[in-house]
Order: sequence, then C-alpha cells, then structure tokens
Amino acid sequence: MAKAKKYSLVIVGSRKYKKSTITAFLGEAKKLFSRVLFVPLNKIQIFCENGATKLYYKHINLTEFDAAYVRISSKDFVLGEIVLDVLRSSHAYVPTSTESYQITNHKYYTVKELSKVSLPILPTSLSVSPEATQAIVKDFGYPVVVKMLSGFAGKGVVLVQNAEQLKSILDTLHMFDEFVSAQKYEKTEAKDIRCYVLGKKVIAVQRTGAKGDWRANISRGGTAEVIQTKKNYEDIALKAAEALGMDICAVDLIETKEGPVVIEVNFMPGPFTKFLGSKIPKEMMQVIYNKVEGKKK
Amino acid sequence: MNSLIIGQRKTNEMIALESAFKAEGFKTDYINIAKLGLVTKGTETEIKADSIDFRKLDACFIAVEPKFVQFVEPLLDELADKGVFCQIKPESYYITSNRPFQMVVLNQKGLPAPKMLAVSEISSLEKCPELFSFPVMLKTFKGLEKTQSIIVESELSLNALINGMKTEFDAITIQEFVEADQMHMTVIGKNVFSVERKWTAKGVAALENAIAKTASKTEQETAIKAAKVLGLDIASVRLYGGKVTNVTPKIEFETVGRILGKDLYKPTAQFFRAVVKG
Repeated sequence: MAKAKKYSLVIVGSRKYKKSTITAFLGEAKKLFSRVLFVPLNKIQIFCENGATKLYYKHINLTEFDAAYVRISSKDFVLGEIVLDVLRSSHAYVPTSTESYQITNHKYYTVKELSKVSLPILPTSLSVSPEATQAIVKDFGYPVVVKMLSGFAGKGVVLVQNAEQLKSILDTLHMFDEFVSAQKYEKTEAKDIRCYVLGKKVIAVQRTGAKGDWRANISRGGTAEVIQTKKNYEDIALKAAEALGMDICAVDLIETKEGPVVIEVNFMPGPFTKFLGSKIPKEMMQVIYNKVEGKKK
Repeated sequence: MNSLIIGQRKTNEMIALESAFKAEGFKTDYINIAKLGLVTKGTETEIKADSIDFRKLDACFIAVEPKFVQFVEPLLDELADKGVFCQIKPESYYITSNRPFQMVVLNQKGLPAPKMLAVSEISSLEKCPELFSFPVMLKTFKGLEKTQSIIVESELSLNALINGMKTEFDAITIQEFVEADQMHMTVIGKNVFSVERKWTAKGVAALENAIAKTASKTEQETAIKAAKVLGLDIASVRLYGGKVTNVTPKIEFETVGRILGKDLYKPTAQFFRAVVKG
C-alpha cells in the first residue's frame, strides 16, 4: 500500500529559472509531498510589520509551508537573502541558509571557509585593485586562474598565461567594478568530480569538458556520468557541506598530484537531467522529506 | 597598541581620525583598501598590505563604501579570526549594504521600523492599497544602489507609476511615510550624538543644515540597539518619528561635529582604546 503523502514544500526559483530543471524537481516532489508549489523569486511579496515578516505569493503565505527549497543565483541576492533568512526563521525546514548562499556565491570566501576546517584547497587570493592582484600572483606563478567573484557555469573564469595577459584582463574587470579572485592553476585533464551532497549521502558525477576546453562544464558542451568514487572524496564533500551549513549542495573537486582539492561549492547545482535523468532531483526531494519527517517527530 | 585605518581616500576626516588614535596611545597607520589583498594557502589566510603586519594589530577602523562588501566581508571574518577589534562585525556589511534586507532584520529584531513591502516587479505592488495608507515612500534598487526615492501621494499616482515604469529592478520597496523631522544619530559605543534634520516642503533638510538636538532616551536606546543588532559598534542611525529608516557604518565626523561643536574623533578613538585595553 502506497505511503500517504503529507507535508508541503515550496520551491523558490531564480527570476531566470531553467524550466526543465524545475519541472524535474516538481515531478519528484509531487511523489512525496501532498502540496508542492513553485514560486519564482520575482513573484514573491515580502511584507514586514511589527516584528513579523511574511512572504506571499499571490495570497499564499510561504512561511506556512513545512519545507522550502531555495534555488536562486548570485544575481538574486537583494531579495534572495531576505527570502532565505525569513524562511530559515520560520518553522519550515530549509536545507541551506543565507550565510551559505553568501559564501558559496563568493569564490574566494568559499575557499577561505573550507581552509579553516583543513579541507584541501588551492592557493587563492582576493583583491580590490589590479595592482594588488598582480603583486600576489607573482607568488603563485603562471599560469594562474582568474575568476570573477560571482561567475558561474564556467563563465567569468579565465586561464592566464603571463603577466601581460593578466594586466589586460584585470584592467578590463576593474572597469566593470568586478572583484577578482586569483587561484594557482593545477594542470589536469578537463575533468572534475562533482559530489552531490544529499544529507549524509554523496553521489559522485564525473564531468568531462568539451574538446579544447580546460574547464569541465556541462553547459559549455561537456558530459557527465555517475561514478563510484573514493571514500576520501566523499568525506571531503560531506565535510565541506557541513562547514558551510548545507544539507544539499554540490562540491566540485579535481585530482592533483597531492590528492583531491575542492574547487568550489555550488548552492544551486544543476541536476544534469540530460545525462542523469531525474536521479539528483529525486534524491534531493527525499532528503528534504526525511528532514521534515524527522523534525515533526 | 597598534591600529590601522582602512579607507578609500585619505581625506581630512581620515587624517583627523588617525591623529585621534595616536593621541590615545595607538601606533596608527592608514591604508587605502586598494592596496589590500587576502591570500589563503593551506589552512592559513594572510592579509597582504604593504609592510603592515596584521599579526601585530590590535584594532582596525574600516571606512569604505558598501560597494566593497565582497572584499570587506572576508576581511572582517579574517580580522575577527585574528582577534583584531573592528567596529564592524562579520555579516554587518552584507546586511547594511542591502537596504531592504537591513529593514527586514531591524523589524525582525524588534526595532521600531516603518511597515514595508518589498517586491521585485512593479506589478506586484497591486496589494499596496490594502496594506498602506497614502502617502507612501517608494524606493527602487539595482544591486546595492538605490536608484529612486519617491513620495507617492495616492493610489492613482501609484497606478500611474505601475503603468509607466518599464525598467527591471532588483527590488522595489514601499514603506509607510512618516512625515517628521529626521534624527540623525551618531552612535559611538554607548554614546549618542544627535542632530535634527527638519522636514520641509521640499523634503528633509540636507545634513549640512541640521541643528543640534538631544535625542530622547528612547531614541538613543533605539539607535544603540539598531547599531548593535546589525553588528556595528559605531554607526549612523536615522530615525523618523522614532522609527529606524537607515543604519550605516559611515560616520559624518566633520559635519555632525561642526553642528554640535564637538570632536567626534576623540570618543571614537577612546572607544577603541577602552575595548583594546579591556
């Protein structure tokens, strides 16, 4: 006999959300939750008065849901931080937090936080001016990876071969008021391991970059497949998620001569449905359901 | 005792602040934020800043605009980890630089704050007449920048705005409009220095034209609490009719000091000294 569905879930998406991804999440959520609602962030109304803050979508009060899964990008921060904060303060279970959103959307800050718990990272810097960056990169040596702080899906990440190229790129970024993070480059094949952290479980996916690309990004023409990975990769991913206060996330690692290192942690990881079907959305929704059930008992 | 002032430009205010710190017994340097870098290797993070050794610092005063939030926040985190006292706590810049977020936090922490509706699309303001009496204050935001601030007199005006605005915003807020003089309060620890900006037909008077006015005990307590809940020991807090409308780490040392005939640099440096000395 099928288990009776109970509990309610709201999924908050970015203003510019990917329909196929949300459809996959909603499909899996509806198998578990009795009520599922999807709301793009730009449709939410935030109302505060006399010490209370409510979130509304049309006339529905979002703080009355049992769980909330917020999938917003770095561009959504102005209202996104508020929505996350208010949902976390409500009785709803939320697998991430405002702090984890702020840190994971900041490539340098992520590395800094992970280094505090002795997780393997590559030497990384952050500076305001091109001059300060150039001085720091001298220590790292070339080539070096230069990243716009909130770039994603491989965008805003450049492999810089020498000081002249660095100066040119930094001057351009500075014109657009972009802060720059520089990271020591480790030559690997264009492959990485994305470890989806799903509560205490890890699903490892090997991503292989498109021919000619040094990055392993699916959105830029790469491929993905589930693999059996070594325990130390899983341990690193779980520890990274815990350090950042996230029950659901994706930790990207590359293999170096010294072992695996964390490249970044993703707040809103794509589920790669083209390659993995609905495997990741299914696991994510199950984590959320289990957590709500645990909370209610 | 060693201290560092981090700013954007070495203005007269920064020079005077540096002197005040020195007068309190600090060995003090000033550095432009553009010269700073943060480097993380292994399990260690280092703050790179010319020849300044952050390991020897006791205190740091930060005076930079909200747009530097992405650099300041990890810097604040590192200063806290190194035990360097700063008048701004980690997370404060994230909150204070995002004005709608700031108002929500103040409200949630029980500070008296104007009723507020925040949305992303102008069409979502349809609920407004049910929730507010007119006039209301409408503000628009693109990223951290406030792009407009308008008093909307009626539902008719609001509808005209809704139909007329075509730009996309990151946030639009509607707040209850409090027609009152503004109390501009400089909080330094538990001390409050206040000036009043009179309300006129053209809006509130410029800060330069404010007058000295002692805030009530309630207003002072509200200002201190507002700064504290947002992680600031030193802050400018604005109140209209007893309600907090803005908290910022930026201190108008010269302007407020001139109006009050007081030196605000000294109490700032004294506050730092008291904290560092324990």
